[in-house]
Amino acid sequence: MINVGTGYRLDQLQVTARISTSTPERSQDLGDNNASASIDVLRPNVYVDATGPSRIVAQGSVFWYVLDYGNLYRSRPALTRAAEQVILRATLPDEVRYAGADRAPGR
Amino acid sequence: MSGQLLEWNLGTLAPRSAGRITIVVQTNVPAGATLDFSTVISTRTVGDDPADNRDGLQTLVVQPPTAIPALNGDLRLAVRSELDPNSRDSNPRNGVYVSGGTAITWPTGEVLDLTPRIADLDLGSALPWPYEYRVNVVGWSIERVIVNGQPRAPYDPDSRNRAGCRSGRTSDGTAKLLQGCVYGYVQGASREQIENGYVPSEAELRDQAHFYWTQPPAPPMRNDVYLYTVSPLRAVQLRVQVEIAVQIVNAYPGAPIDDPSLPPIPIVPLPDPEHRLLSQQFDINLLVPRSVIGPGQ
Repeated sequence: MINVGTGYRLDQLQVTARISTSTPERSQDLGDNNASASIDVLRPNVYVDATGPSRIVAQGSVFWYVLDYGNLYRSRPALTRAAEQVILRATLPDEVRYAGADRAPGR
Repeated sequence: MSGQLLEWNLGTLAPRSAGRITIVVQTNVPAGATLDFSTVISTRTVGDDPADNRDGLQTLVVQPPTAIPALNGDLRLAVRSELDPNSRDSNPRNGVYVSGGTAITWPTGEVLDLTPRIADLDLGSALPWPYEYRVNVVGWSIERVIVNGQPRAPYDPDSRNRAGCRSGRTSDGTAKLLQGCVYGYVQGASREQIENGYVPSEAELRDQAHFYWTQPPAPPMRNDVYLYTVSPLRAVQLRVQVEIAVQIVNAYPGAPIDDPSLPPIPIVPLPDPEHRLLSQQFDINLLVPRSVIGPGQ
């Protein structure tokens, strides 16, 4: 079992192993005494982008915010890992009234 | 919903999955207010890079626009010659060229089919939600022709003594400002059409304006061509105008009742759009006829 720290930034782990013995081996038999392997590191990357109008007119405007979210390890998409228990929160300005959303919030 | 906080439990997001949520809100605060919106996403799975887990934006509340601002833009010329081999092949679009600036070079003894194109239309800063500019080109004109250093109206007698505006595609009839001889603009019905960089086809150039320059004497020529003799051979100028109608509309009048089918409502000016002109003088640097140039020259 290997635990990778949350701060690990590389996309692969390199593992090397070497075996030796005090009993003499023939030189031509030493070639299989070393082995290495690389392991891809999978990671989640949840993201959210918000878009909305930069200016609205002051006359009882109805407008909308759009939240684009997802899970994508951008530099190596194939190494994206599923993200569990994802929570998305939006904080509305005090001056607006929530009118609805195309996906109802849980609270 | 809890106060102004909305929360969605998205469960497990599969690798490379994405989604979108649209939140509709309403406000009635006066102009001058600033609305701050923020959002955050999180996961219990370790290894997530938090750099892109937050976003936010500010929305300014402003007064409705009351006037059409100054309109700017550059004009270019789309040109074509029937003698161009590209105009004679099976590709209907590779024989039209758009000038890079306000000067072109053209051989004498060759009909120039031309029409203006609007480049870099600038209406100033974007309008506040839910307003947008509704823009269309009502027509264009050859305002003036300068030949042998002498300016003249295009409907004045040309070098074969033919007067009047030559036939061509007609404008939509609402032009108010254009001077000279007026023609219809290709693909100018909306702001999107104007700004999409459309290059007319060879066929679309056939009913635009046609010019022919040569050294005297004036040869016989078809009736839809403006023909001028130049002596000595030197640059000539064309002054072109494009007339644009602009109106500010409420692009989303159905938003308060969640009805996207309602058409935009004109706001400013009323009842008719404001008309603006773009003008540009082009230099036509004339060369000896194409047939005089030997191979490889």
